[in-house]
Amino acid sequence: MISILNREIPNQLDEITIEQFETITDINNDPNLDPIDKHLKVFTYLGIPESEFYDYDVADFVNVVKEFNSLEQKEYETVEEIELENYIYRAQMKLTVRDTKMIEKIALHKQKGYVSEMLAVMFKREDLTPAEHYTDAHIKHKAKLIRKLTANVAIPYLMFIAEKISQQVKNDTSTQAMEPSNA
Amino acid sequence: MIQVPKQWSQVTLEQFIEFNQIAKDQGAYYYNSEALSILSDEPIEVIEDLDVDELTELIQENNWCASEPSKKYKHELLGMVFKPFSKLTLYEYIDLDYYFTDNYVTNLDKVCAICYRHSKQNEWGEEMLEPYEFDCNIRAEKFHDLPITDVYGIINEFLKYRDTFLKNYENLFSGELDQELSEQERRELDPEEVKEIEKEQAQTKWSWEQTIYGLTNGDITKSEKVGALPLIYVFNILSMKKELDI
Repeated sequence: MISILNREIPNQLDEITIEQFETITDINNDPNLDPIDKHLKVFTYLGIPESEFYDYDVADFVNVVKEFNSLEQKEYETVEEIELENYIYRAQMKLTVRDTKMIEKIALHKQKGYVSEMLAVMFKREDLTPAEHYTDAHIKHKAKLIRKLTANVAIPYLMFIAEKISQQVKNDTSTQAMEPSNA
Repeated sequence: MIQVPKQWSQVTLEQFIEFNQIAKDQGAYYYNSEALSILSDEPIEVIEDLDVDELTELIQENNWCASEPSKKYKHELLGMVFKPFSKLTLYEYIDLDYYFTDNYVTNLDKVCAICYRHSKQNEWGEEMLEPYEFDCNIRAEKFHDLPITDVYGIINEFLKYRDTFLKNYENLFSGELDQELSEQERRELDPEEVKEIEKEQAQTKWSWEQTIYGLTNGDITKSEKVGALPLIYVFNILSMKKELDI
């Protein structure tokens, strides 16, 4: 937590929820906002109205932003088991083709809440059949619950997914490999 | 253990068509898993249960798919012979032209149905080809299990033939007017010009029907007879009519 304008603002991965992480990421990825606007929007989202910064010195604002963006260098342990609504969900650092296809679909559409949906694909209930697990409604409901967890749960999985996708990009020829050219 | 063909000659025409129908906008993993399912003849569920690294490995091992199948084709298949394009009838050409314009890969089975014919010798010892009086869609199924390499070359061959044909009779074909006029183009043009362009577009849309209607002098009961005439003969007559303005 950092203190800005006498308010305690979460800024570490184990302090912000996945939902907050998703919103902050969306703001930061908005090409229509300049860096100052992005930070003002982030702070507004976390509870400091933009108007409170109107009389703020620019140099001080830059320092606040720096402080807000500085993440503690710590290793987040991979959470392999979570309990949601009295059900245990387990995940492994392992992706089946079906998981990856779903994650790819989620990433392609990049709708609000895509991080929690990706996690919802990876975390599985052992008593459910694959058909039940991959049901759209089940994934969406689980994602809604996952959104309330802290962002540190998501990071190792996001890194793992990113690594797998970057491998795929590296082997870009394999992506196109199966596609025949037309005559 | 998933068995994947090692070359195009081990892929059937049906698999090749399915392969070309895979949506290309659903992402690489979607595309590659569908492709692998089709080529290996394994249900998609089997492919989906693989670890993603196994899929990547399988795809890398099978990058022969990136190359095109051989542009050859067989002159005899399933007891039928290839009908030379120079002997096509008007209706055969119209259907081939339609299938090629629509999608020559996914329609390749129907193209084969038109191109390969049963034959027999007549009383003079000459080879007679079966008339085009069968259901193309039913006949097309007969070709599904053949290796794609037996027929793939037909695509290139017909495209070359059509190109030459269109050049030879270019005076009979007007330019492409497929695109509808935009609102802005309409505003910029004079109403008479808009009317003229729309008339030309309608003529392009109905060009084959119009040709047949003209050749039968409006008697559509004669359409089948005209459709069975050799393409070249029909177009020579049309050229003559145009040149002599008759």
